[in-house]
Amino acid sequence: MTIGQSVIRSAGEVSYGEIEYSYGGRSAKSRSTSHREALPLLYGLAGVPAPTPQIGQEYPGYPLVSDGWIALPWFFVILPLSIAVAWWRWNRHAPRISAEFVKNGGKP
Amino acid sequence: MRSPDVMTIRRASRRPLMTKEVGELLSGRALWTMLLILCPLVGFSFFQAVALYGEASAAARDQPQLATSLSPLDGILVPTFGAFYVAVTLLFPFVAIRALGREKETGALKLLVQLPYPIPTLVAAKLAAVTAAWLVTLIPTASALLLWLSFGGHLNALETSSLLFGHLLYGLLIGAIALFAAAISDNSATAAIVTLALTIGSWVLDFALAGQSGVLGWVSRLSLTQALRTFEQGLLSAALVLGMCVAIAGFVTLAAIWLHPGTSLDKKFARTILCVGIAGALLAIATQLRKSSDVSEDKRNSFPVADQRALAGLNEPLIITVHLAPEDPRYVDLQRNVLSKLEESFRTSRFAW
Repeated sequence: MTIGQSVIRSAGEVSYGEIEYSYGGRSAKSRSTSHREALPLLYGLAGVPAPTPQIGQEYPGYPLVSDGWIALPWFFVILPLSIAVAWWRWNRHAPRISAEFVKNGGKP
Repeated sequence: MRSPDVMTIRRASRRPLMTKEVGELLSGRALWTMLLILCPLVGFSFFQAVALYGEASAAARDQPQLATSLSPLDGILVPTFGAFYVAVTLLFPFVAIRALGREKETGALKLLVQLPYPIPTLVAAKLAAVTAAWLVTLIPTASALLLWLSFGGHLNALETSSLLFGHLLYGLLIGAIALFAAAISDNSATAAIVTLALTIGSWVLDFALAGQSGVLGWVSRLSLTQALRTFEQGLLSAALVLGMCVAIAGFVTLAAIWLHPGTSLDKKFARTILCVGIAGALLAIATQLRKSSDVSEDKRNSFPVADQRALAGLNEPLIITVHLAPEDPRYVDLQRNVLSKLEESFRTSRFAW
């Protein structure tokens, strides 16, 4: 199948908002932007039956009601304090120059 | 004159260079300050996302059909990583610029280029250090995801890793731009202005040119922020990944070209033109790639499997004429809900587009 698509831009047209599907010498128009309306239209033009949806393959979704307040002490106290301590500990050690950057490995 | 000590250059270990580069970034204040700012920024975004997701989930208890629209990708991951994106856009340039800017300011760059490493190795080490710094800045966001899991939340490995990969590419792109800006600037302040002009300029492109058609529409697609939207929609696009990799490699190569203080300006400009030409050609090739993969768990970017099979059986040309202006929100909906999925279905079915 080859799909060609053209966009008509003038908002002043009476047909503005329509989407025209042409397949096999037949055409149909729709104003819906959802595939739930576009696909049956396309199957109708092609003269093929719409497939039956496979049960059990739908996305189940993952609802979860949880108490986000628990995260606030972590992000506003514990983690910043841990980072500050790590920063302080890192700065305590003076930066060392690798022996490989010193001529003869720093040996006389 | 040829160096008499060629063997030293070939055998020089990369480990001390990497240790030096990572140590440079860790000893600066920029990385730690960014980490401290990220904590409340990511934390509050995560808290709000969990609260809103909880409210929507409570409604789904009464109406189970609402549960199908509850995706942790939209509800938790994108808002939490959104705060990380803001910090990477505005603060990470200062971290990355330090990898080179400080050496330029103190004059240590002239000593650095005398070390037994070729310039590409020096720049690659700096990019590796920037990558390590990006991984460190990921700590608050990673902890948010762990908290979400500890709450009993669900995360799909594929869509989470795809989003993470997108943010890694974005972080590396910002880092590469910062390295290039530091290479062409005399001091860190100027490099920061150059980098922020590019990153914040992307926001201006988004606001000013969104939904435009023609040349303006093409220019709007150059926005850095547009790159992340595809990953946020659960789509892994080969064109986008290759395009971002080319852009990263391009800016890093430009940084290498402009790094050596002893190279003449004429040579630098000539190499820059060559580099931009090659990167442009590769980007043009990347835009022709149509391969993409729907990595979202709810398969929002593709039709149901039964429909994909049915569409694969249609062999005649389909012409779709859309009577909508490209900037019309309905056209955006149609593009996302129908046109891109039709394109995806026929591509996976190996039909001509």
